[in-house]
Amino acid sequence: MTLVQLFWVCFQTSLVSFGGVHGALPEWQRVFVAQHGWLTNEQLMESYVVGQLAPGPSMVVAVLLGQKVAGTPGACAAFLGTYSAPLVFALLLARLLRRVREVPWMHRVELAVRPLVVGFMAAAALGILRTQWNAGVLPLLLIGASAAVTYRRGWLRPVPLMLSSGAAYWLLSTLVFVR
Amino acid sequence: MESSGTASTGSVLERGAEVGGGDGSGAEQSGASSAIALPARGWLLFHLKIGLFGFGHGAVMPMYERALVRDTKTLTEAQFQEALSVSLVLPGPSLITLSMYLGKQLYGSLIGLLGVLCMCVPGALWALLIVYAIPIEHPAVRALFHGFTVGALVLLVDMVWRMQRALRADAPTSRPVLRHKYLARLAISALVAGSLLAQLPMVTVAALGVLGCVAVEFLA
Repeated sequence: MTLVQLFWVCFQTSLVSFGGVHGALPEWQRVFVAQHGWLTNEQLMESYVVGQLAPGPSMVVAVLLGQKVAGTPGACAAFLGTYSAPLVFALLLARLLRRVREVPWMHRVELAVRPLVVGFMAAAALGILRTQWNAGVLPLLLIGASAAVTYRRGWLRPVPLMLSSGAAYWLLSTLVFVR
Repeated sequence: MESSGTASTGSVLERGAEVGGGDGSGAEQSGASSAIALPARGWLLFHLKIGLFGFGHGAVMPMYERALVRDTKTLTEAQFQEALSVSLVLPGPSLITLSMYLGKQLYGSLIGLLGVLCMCVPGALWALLIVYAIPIEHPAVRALFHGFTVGALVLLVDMVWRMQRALRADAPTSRPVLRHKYLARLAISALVAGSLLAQLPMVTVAALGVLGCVAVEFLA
């Protein structure tokens, strides 16, 4: 029962996630945490981060969510749900679009829905911020600010940046915030 | 946007599987008739490479462009841009859509599907390995993961900021009507973000959002 539900949730979420994993994050939060109570916000964030640290398409986060809910079968169900959704459309639409041949409005629609993508991603960022804020304000501000400067200056690439932020947080928590 | 290049996508590309060599001298001709195309094995290896070493969504799309347009002349720039637009408009994660769409056109459904699997499976296994191997409840690991999340958050905020700048670049401020368009787009973004945070279902928000965006784009 849960497996079918997982598949269906991941299928739906995958379809409405404009802009990849960040589009899906608020919906996962709503369904997995609020609606079904399968996961806590913390667990969702863990999966999100591990997904960011894995190579390939970042929708892999769904697999981790499935794993947390129902073990390896859950991971498989989530994998199938997430990746079969775009395949269906790509397969059907490839044939259709080749018949239509030229699609000048396509680019325009893509431009038009960009604000939507920005909104989805902003929601994802705010959701993460909310969770991290509850976990501790001071380390968030300290490490966030220094990571922002480091990244904007171009000193570190994305994955090294995440790894060093992790190391910094761990150092801070052991050295400064010893309770 | 030349329509002839787009129209011939299917026929040109079906040759892709059997073309192994040839001289690339006339590659810039329309339709890329004498181009070197990426063989099916190369397509699968390319996806395996993304699946194993491709970190970060933004870095992957340019890899496609390099592999298909600049390194092998499998597609013309216009054909690639068209495929990219299609994959961004179709529902679902655009990387998967792009891969399947191009894979099917170039090499057929089976190779297309295999390509997607080559791309997705390594990352999934890698992520599961991390989850099973690492004691996530340990305090030090927990702290580490909090830090990772902060790093990811910074990356995300940076991306949102750059995309918002792109919204403005599409609507230059020298013309007041277009400035309103930019403001309208910002308002849509904010509304979408707000309604998602208020836990409205994604389907509803997406449907209304698409309507709003298209209205602003085509009416304003």
